[in-house]
Amino acid sequence: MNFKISVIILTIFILALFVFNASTTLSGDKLLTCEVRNVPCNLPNETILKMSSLSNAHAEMASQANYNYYLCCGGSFSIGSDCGDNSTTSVINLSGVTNAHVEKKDLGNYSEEICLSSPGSFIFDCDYDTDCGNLGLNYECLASISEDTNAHIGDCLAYSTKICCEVIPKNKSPKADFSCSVPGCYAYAGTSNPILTLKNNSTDPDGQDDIAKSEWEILNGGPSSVIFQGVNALNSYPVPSPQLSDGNYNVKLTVTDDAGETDSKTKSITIRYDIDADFLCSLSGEEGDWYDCDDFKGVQEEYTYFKDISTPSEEASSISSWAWEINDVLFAGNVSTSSVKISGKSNTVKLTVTDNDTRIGYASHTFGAKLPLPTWQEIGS
Amino acid sequence: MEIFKTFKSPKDFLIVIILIVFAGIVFWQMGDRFYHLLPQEVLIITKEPVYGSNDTLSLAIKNILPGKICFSSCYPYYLEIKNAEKWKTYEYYENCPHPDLIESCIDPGYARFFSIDLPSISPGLHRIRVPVTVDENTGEEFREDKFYHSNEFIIR
Repeated sequence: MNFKISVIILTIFILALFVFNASTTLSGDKLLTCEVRNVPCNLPNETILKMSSLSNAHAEMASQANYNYYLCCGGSFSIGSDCGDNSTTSVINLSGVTNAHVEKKDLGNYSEEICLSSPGSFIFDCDYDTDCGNLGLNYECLASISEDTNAHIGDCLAYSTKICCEVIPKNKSPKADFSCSVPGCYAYAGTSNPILTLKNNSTDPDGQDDIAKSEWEILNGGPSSVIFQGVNALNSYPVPSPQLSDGNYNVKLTVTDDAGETDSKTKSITIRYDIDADFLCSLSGEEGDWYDCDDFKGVQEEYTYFKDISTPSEEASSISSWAWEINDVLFAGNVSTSSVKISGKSNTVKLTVTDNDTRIGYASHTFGAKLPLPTWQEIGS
Repeated sequence: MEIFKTFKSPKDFLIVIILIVFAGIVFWQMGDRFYHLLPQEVLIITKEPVYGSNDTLSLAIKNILPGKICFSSCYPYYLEIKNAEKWKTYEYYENCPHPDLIESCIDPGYARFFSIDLPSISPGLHRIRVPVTVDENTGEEFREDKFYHSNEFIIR
């Protein structure tokens, strides 16, 4: 019987311990702990200031040796009381280096500043309230003051206005990076085939969710240099190659995190000139009788001749194949010059060319047709 | 000289001369007017009032002029279409492969009949314009003295 009771008590104890630990974890461990003690602070705790007693006290800088009450703060990180660099946070101001009254920071009457500093990856946030818990679970009470200015100082039990600080992880800058969807990072001018997408590979040590936005800009893109920002914070960038002429462009990605810190990366992309398909029209096919097909008229029931004047793409040296269609009907293939007898009053001729870099181009012209010479046959008199 | 004795004075003779001249003028004017009232026309009539594009059109041409009419070997006729209340001549191939000579003629009072293979043309109201040279001979260079229109017909 005694054994069973012991087991039950032990089980309850273990459960209670588990619940306590869980609640502690849920409420959040305070990374900063402070206390006022009448003996020097133990390392790694740091003396933030000294006071003459636990209540109704004057204060002095930590470097002075007149008072015996030490405000000691520490945590699982390196802490200091220096002021002046970016990683310090002002706590309170003193009227002098010793035998001083205190006032809230930023009031501007006192010049001696008490700070919390951390060279590590943490920063402090300090404020005043009647209960540090009102400011947040992780705020720690350092001391209390009797007034906003010209005040005495004491430990946290002395006055209703508490000096509260919390330590928060210092924001880390995002790291901008991107890669190209096409090996060699190129696209063709005037077309979205293939689409060159710059994939956003940016990272943030504080987590990818910390990246607030990504902005893309073509630095030397002329009218296309507008900043592009997609709907997603980590958006990739479809290069607007249809609006770009051939050449090299520098694309800059700027990522910004929730704290407003930014990082940029610039890479060069190449916009190649694409295959350019076109052809001329003629009624004779003879040298010197070729015309722009948009300014051309054929003749019904007569042959019209077509001559390819396409230019291959940047990486190609020649046109390797041709296909000629009139009104969607193929009439010639694999010849650079073709002809067809037209019958309609409106004719659409389409040329499809492929170069030896397998780029495909199209050209289409619609032209009218004059009537043939009028003829008649006499059928009687 | 006896005739002069019928006039009592030279004044009477002058009056008669004036009357004769006046009557001559009146008769000349009347004759000219009646001459122009006579039908002086070239009748050009299609067999049907409606054709389809690429159909064969039959055409009769009757010369009611006092002189003969002759046709071009390059452009014996032009098709015209009515667009927005205006007649517009179709654009024809301008390169005639041979000199534009008179190919055939119709004497006054005669008619000839032709068939025309219509090209691909737009639907709508059409007519045929026939340019002619008047009173020339076959083989001579064609020049357009006048032109005549056919009746209007529809291309459906």
